[in-house]
Amino acid sequence: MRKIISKQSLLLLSIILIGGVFRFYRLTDFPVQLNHDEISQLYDAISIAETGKDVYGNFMPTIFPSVNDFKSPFYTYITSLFYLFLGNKEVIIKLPGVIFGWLTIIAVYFFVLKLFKNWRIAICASFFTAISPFEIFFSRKSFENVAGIFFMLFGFASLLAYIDKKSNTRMLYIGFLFLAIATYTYFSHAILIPFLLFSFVLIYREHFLNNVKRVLLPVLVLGVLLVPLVLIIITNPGARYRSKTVFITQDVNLERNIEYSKSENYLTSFLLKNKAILDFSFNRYLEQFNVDFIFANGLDFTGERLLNQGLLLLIQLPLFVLGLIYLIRLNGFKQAKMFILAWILLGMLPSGLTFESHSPHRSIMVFTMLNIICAVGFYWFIQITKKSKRFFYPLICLFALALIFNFMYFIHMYFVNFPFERSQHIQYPFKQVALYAWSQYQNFDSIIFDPQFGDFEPKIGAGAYYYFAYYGQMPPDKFQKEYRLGDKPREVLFDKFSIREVYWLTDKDLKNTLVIASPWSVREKDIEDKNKIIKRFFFYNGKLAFYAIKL
Amino acid sequence: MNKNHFILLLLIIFAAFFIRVTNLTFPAFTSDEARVAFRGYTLATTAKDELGRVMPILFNSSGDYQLPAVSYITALGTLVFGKTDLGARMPFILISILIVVLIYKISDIFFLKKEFRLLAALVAAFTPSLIFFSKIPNETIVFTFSLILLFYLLTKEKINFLSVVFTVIFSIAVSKIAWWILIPFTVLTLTFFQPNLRKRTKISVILIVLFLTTVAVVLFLRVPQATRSFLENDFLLLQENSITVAMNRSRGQGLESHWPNFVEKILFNKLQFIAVGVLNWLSHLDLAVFFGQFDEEGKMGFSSMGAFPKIAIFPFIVGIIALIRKSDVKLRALLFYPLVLTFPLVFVYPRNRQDIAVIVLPFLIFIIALGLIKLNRLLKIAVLSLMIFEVIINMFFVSPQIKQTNYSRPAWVKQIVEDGYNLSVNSKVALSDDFTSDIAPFLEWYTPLVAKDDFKNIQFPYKFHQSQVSGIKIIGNDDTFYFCGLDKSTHIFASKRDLEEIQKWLNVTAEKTVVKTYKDDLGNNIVYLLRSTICVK
Repeated sequence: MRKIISKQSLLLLSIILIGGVFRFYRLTDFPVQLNHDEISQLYDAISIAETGKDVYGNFMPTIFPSVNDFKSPFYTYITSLFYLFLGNKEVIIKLPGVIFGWLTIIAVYFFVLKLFKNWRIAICASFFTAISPFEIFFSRKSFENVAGIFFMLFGFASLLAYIDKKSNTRMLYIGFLFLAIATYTYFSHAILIPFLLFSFVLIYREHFLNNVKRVLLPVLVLGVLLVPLVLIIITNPGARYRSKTVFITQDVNLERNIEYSKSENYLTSFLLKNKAILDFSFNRYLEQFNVDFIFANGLDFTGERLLNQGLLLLIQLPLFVLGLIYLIRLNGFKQAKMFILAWILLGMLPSGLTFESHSPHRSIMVFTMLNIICAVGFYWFIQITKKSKRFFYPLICLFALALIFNFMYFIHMYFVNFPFERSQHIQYPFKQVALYAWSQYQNFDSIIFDPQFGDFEPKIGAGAYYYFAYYGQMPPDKFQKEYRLGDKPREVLFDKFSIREVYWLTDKDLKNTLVIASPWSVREKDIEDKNKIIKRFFFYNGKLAFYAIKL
Repeated sequence: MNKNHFILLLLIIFAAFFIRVTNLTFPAFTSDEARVAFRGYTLATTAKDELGRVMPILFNSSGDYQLPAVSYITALGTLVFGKTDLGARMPFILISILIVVLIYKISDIFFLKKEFRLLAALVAAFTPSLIFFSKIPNETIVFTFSLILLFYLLTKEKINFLSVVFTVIFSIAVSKIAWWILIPFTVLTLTFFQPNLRKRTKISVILIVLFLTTVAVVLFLRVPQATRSFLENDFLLLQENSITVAMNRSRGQGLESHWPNFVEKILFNKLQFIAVGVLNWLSHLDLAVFFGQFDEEGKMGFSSMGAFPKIAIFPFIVGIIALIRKSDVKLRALLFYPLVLTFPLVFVYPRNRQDIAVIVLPFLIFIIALGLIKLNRLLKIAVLSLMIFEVIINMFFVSPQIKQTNYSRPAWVKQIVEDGYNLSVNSKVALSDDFTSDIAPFLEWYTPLVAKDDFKNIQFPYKFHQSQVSGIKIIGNDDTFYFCGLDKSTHIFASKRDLEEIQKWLNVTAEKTVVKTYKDDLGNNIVYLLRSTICVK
């Protein structure tokens, strides 16, 4: 027994270490720059830690307006704690995500152990969590959903532990506490987790209804913990604004379908319009289970349809099929299987009901569960191949080789191709632009930056002022006082900086001004004196992104 | 079969027929379908195709060669019902009804409750994809029929070799897909559904199928553009440049990041083609395709429906679970058919060939029916009612779909070509070639134009576009315009492209040149009839 325990622990420890390596390795270098979400949360966190207000002067906000996307507060507040302990370092914005992502490996282990009561499947699940592309990617991306998954897994593991031993009501309190925290981590969790919890209680109802008195107080505690969240959602207009802006009705294709359904007859129009919305939503939901998306291109590292990287490794596809078949054929564990189904079906709703065709960051909890099913499939694969002594080792070696090859492919995609192909998606090289602008601070009366940029097509980089504020180490209280909107298109003003659209016909006559713009805003041929271009900034792939023009 | 059962079956067949003939002219034809419809008519009346060739074996289409069966089937329809929508569509409607009957008949082999057969037939009657493909001249529905017929013949207690041979030959004459899948299909069917058949008989059947498909391929390869046809339609993956470009780019980025060259070669090599092909294949079999939206463009299905009604996903999943848990070999075999029948999709990347997925629908219908018999009575009725309701709604309220398929299925083109024909009786007429994908077939189908022998000497026309249809000029990109005398004047039906050309080069305004404007189904101006003082050079 002692030998089995230590073998289990040793395996788990090794897996945790492996997972740690891929999460912490060159964390400050890859991704190649903080994206606009990270920089806005980082600077807001510093602002909270130093002044108690966000950059707009809102005291201890329950929702952060940020770059007009109204972020949930959990990640920013936890980053401010890291700031207080570790000081001002870029990496502090990444630490919560990567630590929770790392701890998810353990959370998955305990969750699966409680669910299937099989340590081997639990070990397999934690292994796949450790090496899963989406787990590594989102852990390193400072994504708040990762923390939510951690709390969810531990929360439900605790509830399952209570079900195993009902005298242990402490587990009930812990479970509800973790789940309550999880609801605060990400917007969709605020809706999903209560539904998932309800499904859990429904599926395991005899364990709860037989002992209502024991359950009542923990449920009340849960309710009390959720009251602030409910108040936030009801009272904060930002929460409703965010829900409205991301909902599926914002999709241009749905808008077109609704337009097509218009008819002279009001009743017909009404029926066809609702039919169009239902059809579109149903189809959008089903598309989230697309094989391409999950196994081929869900992380969208290269923009290619199939030479890309999926959320799971391609080698996991046959394991997933095996896992499904095993679970269907398995007698018993009916409640566990139903809970897995509920988790997947509910978990896909946020991604399935938003305006983007695929939004993997909203469905991470589902991929965690798909990983678990792959682990079941792998466990069954081992059981089957073990029966044949002749083929066992060759098959295992073959699988191991395929896994290594597939994983190396992911590593290449993430550390090499993703920066080259997608650097502009994380606002690269805004950091370099901001640092350079500050280096020229003394030389100019005003500095103008137009964040319109792009490799193939122009887009407006969000939150540019956050980059300037952070990399200029501007004190948050000063930024709060000076930040204002200007008269020009998309103009933000603070200190001597103006983040706005550059209109070269008039701006070229400005004096003692540094203008930083892309070729989309200022064509090089329109700059008469090429010596005025004192610096060029490039995307990671070497193409021109911006130039700095001295006026 | 007892009397009630028989009556129910008749009702299902009647319902299937009714739903297929409702709104007969919907969907409007694509240019290829109009071409097949007209071709059927000319074959029936003159024994020549639209290009003037006498009883050819291989026909022209916009993307590939077309095998003969579909065109001659259409000829039968137009022979009976004339040059009408009924004539062009009826043969395929009847074939689709036969699929329903065959599915009913085949259901016997699964030894399930009697209601299983009726449920399978009912689902088949109300399968949106089968309904859609029954209303247009196409090879998909015909091949689906021939495949399910072959399945029926191969699973009979005593295999009739002659029937099998004729069905195989027929399949081979319908679709090139048959050439690749008939062998594995035959092997799979005989393995699972004829376990007690003598080995010699099985081998004989397989060899016959192999021989016939080989002959078909060999004969086809003697056709001038055969290799090109294969590479451009069936084996696109082999000449797909984008994969090589993406691989080289990835490799280059790796080398620039100081990754060892041998690692780059291991990670990015020809194996990627296999992965890409397999993923492309599996992506055609997604749940969203079968139950969400079969074809976004509306060219190969109702634009807001999957291959099956949405609610059918529920009995489908129940059916799959039942199959996996059940030990019956024949039922389990149904799981293999979707993969075996669609494996040619591996090679068609990057093209979307949703029509290939249609041939597996009969086998999925069995799975859905299996799921339905597992449900309690109330749920069963609810699911079936919702299925039928969704189909009826989509069949009766077609205006959103007509707008969705505004360009691929231009119902609005009929008025234009009719006006063009009427004017061509007394004067010259020219039509722009770009307001639809190919205007010639629409001219031929919607007007009393008779096909001339202008192109009869082209033995094997491949992707051939007519530049002239019985005196009506089709204006291409290279054509130019000039002012001409009244004796040479031409009635020009110009697209936006050509109107802008005319305005630019002849320095005239729209008000001075345009006599009439035609709108498409979205209400946009699409074609302009110009004053007859301009000619085409």
